Amino acid sequence: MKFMPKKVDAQFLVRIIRDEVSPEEREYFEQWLSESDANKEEYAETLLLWEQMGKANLPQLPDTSLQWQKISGRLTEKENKKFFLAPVRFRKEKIHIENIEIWITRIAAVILLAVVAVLLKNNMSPNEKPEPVVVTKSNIPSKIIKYELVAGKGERITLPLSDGSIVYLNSDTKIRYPKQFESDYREVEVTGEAYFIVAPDKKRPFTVKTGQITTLVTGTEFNVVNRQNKVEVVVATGRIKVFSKNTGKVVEVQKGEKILADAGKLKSAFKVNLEYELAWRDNKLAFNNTRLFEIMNEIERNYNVDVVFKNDTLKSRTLTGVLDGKSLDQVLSLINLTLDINIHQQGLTVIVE
Amino acid sequence: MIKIEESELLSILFEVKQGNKEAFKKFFSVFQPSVYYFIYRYTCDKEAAEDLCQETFIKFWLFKDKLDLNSSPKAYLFRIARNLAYNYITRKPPVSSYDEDENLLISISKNPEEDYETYALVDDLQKALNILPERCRTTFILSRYEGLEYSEIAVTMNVSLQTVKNQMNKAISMLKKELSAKIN
Repeated sequence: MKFMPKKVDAQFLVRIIRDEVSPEEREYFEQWLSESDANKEEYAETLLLWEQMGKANLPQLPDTSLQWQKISGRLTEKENKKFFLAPVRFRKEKIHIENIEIWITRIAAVILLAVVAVLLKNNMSPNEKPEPVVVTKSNIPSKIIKYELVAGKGERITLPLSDGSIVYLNSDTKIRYPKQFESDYREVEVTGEAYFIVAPDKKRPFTVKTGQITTLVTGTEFNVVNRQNKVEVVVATGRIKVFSKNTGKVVEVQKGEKILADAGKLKSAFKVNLEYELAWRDNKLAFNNTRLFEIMNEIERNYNVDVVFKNDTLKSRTLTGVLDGKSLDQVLSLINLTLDINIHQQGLTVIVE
Repeated sequence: MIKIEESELLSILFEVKQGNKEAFKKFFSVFQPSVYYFIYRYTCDKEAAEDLCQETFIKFWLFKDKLDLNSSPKAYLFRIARNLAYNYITRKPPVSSYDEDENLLISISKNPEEDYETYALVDDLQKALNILPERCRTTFILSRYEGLEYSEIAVTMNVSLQTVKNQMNKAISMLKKELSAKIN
């Protein structure tokens, strides 16, 4: 709680005693203390009480192993509840603004908190700042409000965060972030692909959660992919730490390196070609012995079309290179030329044969 | 009290969620004292504390699917404990003397003669705690003995932050009165 107290009351004094106050609050307290003897006495009494209450005699702790045996036995059996074990009913959840996060889902095309989203066919024009739409009561602390921003297929969004960081969302990507970051850490969650330019702030580490994997930085640029339980992180500048909740492992990744995680298991970091890895940021598609199947997945995502393979053997044909085609037509022609196959469009469907 | 690192706790809880009993045993050994003493201070009843402590962990296990690895397991554990303890004290038939005010729940067992001695052995501090209304008592115990911050207490008790602060104010005020009366 960083709000200034209206007056000094017992619960405030308790926070002073427990040293759970901000420097401003402590200063306020010290001033209050010096104002009168009555104040000094009140504080002394409260401190004394607090100390006293810690001295109560307690019964001896029941033997842990014995207790465990009793519990363990009951964990597997079906039990008849005794009278004082009648079903515990938790009180109905009331929405108390101060302690429950409020998730607000938005459709990117409809409500934008960030710079304009454009279809890949057009060039990005990041020059307007759309109005943030306030959908909650004005007395909710900003930190508690969380937003969810979705870039649909065929869309990309640039999102400025409250600390000055910028996130670039690739197509088919979802990000959850607070309206305002906490005072000691900054955290967001990503499903899909996003490029981060994190504003340096040594006092507030920045974490990106992608399923089981968490990436931790203080100020740097990196790319994150979280699709189908596979996570990839590529570092463009600086250094990051990647942590797996699953295995507890932490790996440091440097500039120019990439790290993979499959179902929460982290592998070692390795050097990569940043131009390839970050090609999407320049509106390019880069592939390195990538199977046509995966290439078409990427095309589905980026152009918002459905791809149908009429010939399954074509799925494993591979392609290497950077496609700088802006339109779907151009991209498909290039692939056709290179692989000597026939991919054509039929309405919103792309057929490969 | 066994101390463990946050990351170790996380991996233990992860295992617990998967149904790993060994991990749950470790979890139990770490939090048993907290839960036991919380319930003892709340009910002033050793036997009840022992039983309800077991029930708390059993319930925790039964609902392990609902475990949210991102939030505090302590708050969740105390929520279960407090609900069980609350049901216990409200369902126990008060015997010789009880207070009409439904908020005052003094733990008196069915055998007043047998327990008078034991009751007398309970020190003044616990007796002072006993006199606090339930929500006050819960708030104070969680803050003073379990080290929870007001915001965590609010989550445990499912009330607003302001309510927690009010309860704390009330608790301090009543305890001061009670203990100064004892001295005089």
